[in-house]
Amino acid sequence: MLNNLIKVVNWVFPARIAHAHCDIPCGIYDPIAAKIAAQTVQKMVMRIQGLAAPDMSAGGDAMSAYANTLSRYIAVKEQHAEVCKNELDILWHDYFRPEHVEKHPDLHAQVWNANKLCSKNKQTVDLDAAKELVATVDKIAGIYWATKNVTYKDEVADVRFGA
Amino acid sequence: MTVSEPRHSPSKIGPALSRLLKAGPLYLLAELVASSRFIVHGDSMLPNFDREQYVLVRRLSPRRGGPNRGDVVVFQHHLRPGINFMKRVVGLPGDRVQARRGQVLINGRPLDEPYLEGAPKAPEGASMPREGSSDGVEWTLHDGQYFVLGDNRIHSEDSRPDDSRRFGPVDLDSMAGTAWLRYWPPAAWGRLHSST
Repeated sequence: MLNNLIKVVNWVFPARIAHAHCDIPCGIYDPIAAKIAAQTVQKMVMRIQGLAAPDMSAGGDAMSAYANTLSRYIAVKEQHAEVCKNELDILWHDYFRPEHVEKHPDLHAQVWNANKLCSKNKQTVDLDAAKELVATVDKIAGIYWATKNVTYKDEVADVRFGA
Repeated sequence: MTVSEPRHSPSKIGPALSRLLKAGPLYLLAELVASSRFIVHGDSMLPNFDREQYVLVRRLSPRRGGPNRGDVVVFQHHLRPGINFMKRVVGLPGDRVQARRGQVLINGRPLDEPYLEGAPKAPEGASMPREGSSDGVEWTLHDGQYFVLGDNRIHSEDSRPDDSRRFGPVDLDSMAGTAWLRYWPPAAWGRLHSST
């Protein structure tokens, strides 16, 4: 009877999940998260560069709006550079294996380079560095998909990036 | 020589009286009401916690103090927001902790871990952890910081484990509480102690 009661309680009021996984998300990987983050960095660089500072004679409201917008662009750039790093690191540590490095000996260098570019994009507002980050993430994505015998091609990259 | 931590209680009631009260049905009822229920997913706490087992987790409070060494805690980490993790506390505030190939050193001395009896062990001469792993890194824990590990350390070492080897120390503030009772399945029912 107690067993049935507990079964009913568990069914009616489900318990919360306590993850005791060795890793999450259990073998599902995709470099697209890093790609989106890298593109976001590039977009923010473009937005920052395109944001016109108000004239010195403009009122306080205009200056506040400018500061607010600029701060938001910078914050998003910073956050997504970090997301990109984290996503690449997950692939590097959790997915890639020694046999992948044997087939793609530049893998370590590419991941290292991409991480450095993430840092550079945090530190600077440099469109070339942002584009280079996107391109490097693409190279890593190419290696990732090659390990699954898939030819990588991000056909919707430009549409995703938008104007 | 190994490190073996006696359980301590911050309660000001005498230890004998405290034990007597805690054995009472009213105390048990209060604990039941104040506890949260969790279901275990994953293998990182084997052989002590299997998948689909249900546990009650007692909230931590300033009166109770932090968890003891060996307690199993449920916590969240800012690297994985919204996910509750279940791991065992091996390092307490003030400890210098090193975890290498499943062996824990506290202030340079091996930690006595009776709950690992029956868990798979690293073979002699096992390879070093993979590049990038935090396994083997030494941590000094500050106030409110705890070092947590899964019991199934060998399994965990195959990838990046979701414990302090990856996250670093876990803050007391981020802990939901300590697991104190396993209530499902009936065959595994029982109170949980820091040695189980």
